Amino acid sequence: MNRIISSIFALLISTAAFAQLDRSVRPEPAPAKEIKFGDYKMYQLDNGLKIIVVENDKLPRVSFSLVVDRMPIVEADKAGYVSIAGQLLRQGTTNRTKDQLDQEIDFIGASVFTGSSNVFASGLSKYDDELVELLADLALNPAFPEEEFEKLKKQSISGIENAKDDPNSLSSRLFRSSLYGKAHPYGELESNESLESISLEDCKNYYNSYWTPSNTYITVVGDISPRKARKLIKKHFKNWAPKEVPSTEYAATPSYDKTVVNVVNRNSSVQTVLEIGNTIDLKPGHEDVVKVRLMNQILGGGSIGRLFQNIREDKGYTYGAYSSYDSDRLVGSFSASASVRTEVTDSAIIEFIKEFKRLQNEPVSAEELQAAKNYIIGTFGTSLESPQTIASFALNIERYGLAKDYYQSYLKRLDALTAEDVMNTAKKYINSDNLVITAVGKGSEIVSDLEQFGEVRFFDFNAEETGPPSLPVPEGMTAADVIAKYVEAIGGQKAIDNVKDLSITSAMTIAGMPMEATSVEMRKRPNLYAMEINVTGMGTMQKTVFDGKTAIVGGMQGKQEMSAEEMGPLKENTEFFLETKYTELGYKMELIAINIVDGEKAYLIELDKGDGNISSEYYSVETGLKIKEEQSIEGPQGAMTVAQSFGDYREVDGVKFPYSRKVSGPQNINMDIKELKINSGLKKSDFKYE
Amino acid sequence: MMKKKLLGLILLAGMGSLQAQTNIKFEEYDLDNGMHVILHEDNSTPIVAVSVLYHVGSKNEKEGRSGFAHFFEHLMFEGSPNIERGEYMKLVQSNGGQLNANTSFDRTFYYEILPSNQLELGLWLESERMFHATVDMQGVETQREVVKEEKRLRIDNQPYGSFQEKMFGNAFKGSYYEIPPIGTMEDLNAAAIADFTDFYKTFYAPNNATLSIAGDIDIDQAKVWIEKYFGGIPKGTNAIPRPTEAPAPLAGEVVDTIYDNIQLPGVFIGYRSPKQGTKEAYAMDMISTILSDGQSSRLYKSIVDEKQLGLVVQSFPFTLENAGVFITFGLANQGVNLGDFVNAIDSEVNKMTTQLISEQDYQKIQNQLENDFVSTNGSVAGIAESLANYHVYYGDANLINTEIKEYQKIDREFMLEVAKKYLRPENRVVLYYLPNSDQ
Repeated sequence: MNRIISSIFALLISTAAFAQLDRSVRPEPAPAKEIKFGDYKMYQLDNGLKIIVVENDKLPRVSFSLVVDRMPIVEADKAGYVSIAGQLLRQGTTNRTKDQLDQEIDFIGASVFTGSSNVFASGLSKYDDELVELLADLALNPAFPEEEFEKLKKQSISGIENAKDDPNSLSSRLFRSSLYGKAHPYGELESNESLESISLEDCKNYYNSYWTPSNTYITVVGDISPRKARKLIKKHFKNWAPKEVPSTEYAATPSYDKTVVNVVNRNSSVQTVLEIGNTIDLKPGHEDVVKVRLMNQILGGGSIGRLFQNIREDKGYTYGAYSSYDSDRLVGSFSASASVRTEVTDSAIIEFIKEFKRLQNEPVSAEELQAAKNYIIGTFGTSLESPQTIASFALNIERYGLAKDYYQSYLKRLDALTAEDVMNTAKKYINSDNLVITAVGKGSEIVSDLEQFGEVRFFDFNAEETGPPSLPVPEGMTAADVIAKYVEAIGGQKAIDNVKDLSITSAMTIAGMPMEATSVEMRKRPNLYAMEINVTGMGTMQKTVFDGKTAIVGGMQGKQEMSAEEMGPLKENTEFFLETKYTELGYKMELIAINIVDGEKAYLIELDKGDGNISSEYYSVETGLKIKEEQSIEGPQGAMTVAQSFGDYREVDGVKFPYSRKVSGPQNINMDIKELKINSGLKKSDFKYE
Repeated sequence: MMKKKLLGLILLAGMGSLQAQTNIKFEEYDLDNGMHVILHEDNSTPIVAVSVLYHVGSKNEKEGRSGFAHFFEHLMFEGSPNIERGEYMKLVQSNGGQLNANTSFDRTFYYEILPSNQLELGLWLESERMFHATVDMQGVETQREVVKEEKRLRIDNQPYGSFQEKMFGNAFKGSYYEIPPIGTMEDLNAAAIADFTDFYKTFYAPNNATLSIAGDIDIDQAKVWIEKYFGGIPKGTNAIPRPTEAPAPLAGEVVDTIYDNIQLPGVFIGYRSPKQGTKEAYAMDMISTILSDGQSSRLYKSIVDEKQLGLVVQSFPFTLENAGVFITFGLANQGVNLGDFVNAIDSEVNKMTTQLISEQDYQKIQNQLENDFVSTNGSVAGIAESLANYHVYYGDANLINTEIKEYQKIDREFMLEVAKKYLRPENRVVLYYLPNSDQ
């Protein structure tokens, strides 16, 4: 009985409790706790080596991290040697072979890494003595074994090979080299060639020049007392002698006065990896660092950021869109990135830039500002859970000469920032109108959509410019189909046949010539042709007339009849709508590929006129119109390409004509049609040389 | 000289059995509605990890609905009657917290890491998700695109990215482990609203959930709030389908060649292996440690270092609730014949099946495992997750303190026995990855 009553009672209580709970009321936070900073101890040995110790006995482990504080190295055509030198430290000391190191490190379950300016050793704290001894042996007594060096080179080259198809590696290489320039240490790229040319001497020289105790810090974190840490380190490092370090000059990073779009084509891509950004001048410890942190949080920090909310949550273009920044002693950076599906590449870029500008031009709401601050405070608090954070704060204070209370006062400085500060910071550090945009993706699919942002250029893995990529042509399609499509595009055979005569007056701009020139071309069926170029103030420069039988060519020096041989090339000019006559003239045509021409997909047709010259013609996939032709000619300096591009098609009496023609080659000439007349009643007598 | 001395000292230390101890205290209990609660108090940093583990993963999906559990996880951030669409993440982050979730073959895991004064907020959010999460068409359509982008990002656009699909597809053909949690594009497109309601009712019930909290909490206060927000959520009425039958063994060796956009040829070798938490599975972990943990490990030493046949060779024992697959992955160096490369891997694997490991190797892996074990409990988020895993999979959250002993119970002879039993050619799937240019 009792039992039943009590369980009914319990039931009542629980339903009552539930009924009372108003789920729409959001819990209020309890009073915030103060974020406490763990303490650290700092020591310096006589040789200048600095020791930072953060004691934390929560877990029975300890780590020792040695960092040589040096400025970046310019590796030039040997890019990769500094990194190999760093890896080589792990490959043997004067006391231990690589085999011995491998065994001893694994035997105590330790983790040990070496890099170009660091050595790290961590493990169970019961092995602290062994860990410091290993740390010192690796840092101070490298043997630089030749055999291991060759292995590392080989592995690095394989690593480079592996990176060639990895979209993220491609993206990071392209972005870095575009942003900083390939001559700057941050923009240098390792390549097969650069790795091949590295010698063991390069690695030794690097180590001997830059590793000195006077620039070195060892941070110790974990279950060890500061006194013991100091004692152990002193024992093993006190005899390391300091030296002078060489100084370096750095190439300037490129400055962009408008937005550029650099692309690596990857035909297998289903997504485009986008990075968008600019260099910034922001040194560690600068008063703006906290402002940029806040600005970046609002824009693209995590899933609360505007980029994520807009591009992923609202549009579903991507799995994640973020922004980030780097403060740096040489040159810093701001960048935003996302991997988006191919079809929305341009839409995503538009959203990125829209968000940049919104941040620069509209103040954030008080609510959004506070949310971003709270997020930063929260992650700051969480990061303090790891004693490594305290150690890295201490190291930064020492390395960059920050105020001792830099991190303690960080949150106070953050709290004081306003919406105005965010807007000004966005204006100062984001160059919305001269960005570097890099895209790794299916070039042929995205290129035409990228032109709207700036000049589009294509690069390869080594950030060498390649020119636009080509694509296979659709199955079964031939050159004749392309021509048929062209005929249709300009108005159809019937409209063309209706043109009995044609006269075209064009304004000519010749590069390097200040005078204005005009050309007049006239045609009359079946094959009458006349062409005249006049220069203002100088009269007729050139004139050619063909009356159906003889051709006369002349200019300022008089006139003469053309020989039969000279008349050959002229014959083409006498044809009405030459493209429709290719088969009739016995030209051989072949459809080769789809290429990207000035951002537009175009069928490439190779035309063999039977005279030994092969020319290339491009017809737009979208409109069917001819957009370019190219021919290789022998010039005084060898073969060169003369290209003519066609644009601004306008319809006259049912036929489309390119109102703009640009010739590029030894001489660049622009021709713009000023007047075009069809069937104006040209007479035979108009085709006489007078 | 130096080396021997050091090794000697360590061996002595090892004999002294200075076993590193972890002692993570926790309390656990069930609510009346069946939800399991685990609480760990650690006041050293003012943060708290709030997590909920739902015992549902891709293995619980219906046929033709692959990827559903994971897709569903995305939808579980869409809100509730009291939380507007898109507000869930904002509420956490604008209050200084971080959040995320992940879905595996066997479970779905949600967590928030919050400033500790926001514990109640975290509990309210998770209870809203469990009690009455909103699922509507707008959310479904947006998240469908996001999930597809996730698949493109992690799999379709990555070199060797198809290996999961190929490996699990072959190793677990015809079973509920055949398709990896991300699913197929086809099935993702097919998922409709009606599917979601049923799934939610069945699997997102309190009796299928474990709430695990670690960090700066007051245990008594936490219990009151837990009762307040979760106590009234009714127990699920649907039976929870939980496949337990082991996937059928392989009928023989499966070999497949995949041409991909890659530069270096690669290989994935997967042996069907024991399910997680078994003595045999611990032995397989130890075999994996011998083979590829650290630069003295056998595969690394022989293939990467000495013979220089490969850039990377790594084995990882992938264990699941009802089965496992022991995968060895390698990338050959440029110009190396893939056959030679695989032979070299096989020869090291064969040693495991024919020879006892040395006493010294045995001691080494114990030290390595001990170090790994100690390091996994470095954050309150990691502790909350481990506690929940140990409870759900093994019914013993205290394994967080004692699992290391399971390894110590396994001797060299047993390792050999297990290697013989599983590392057989007719028990494996071999995937050759070759560059498209070789096709």
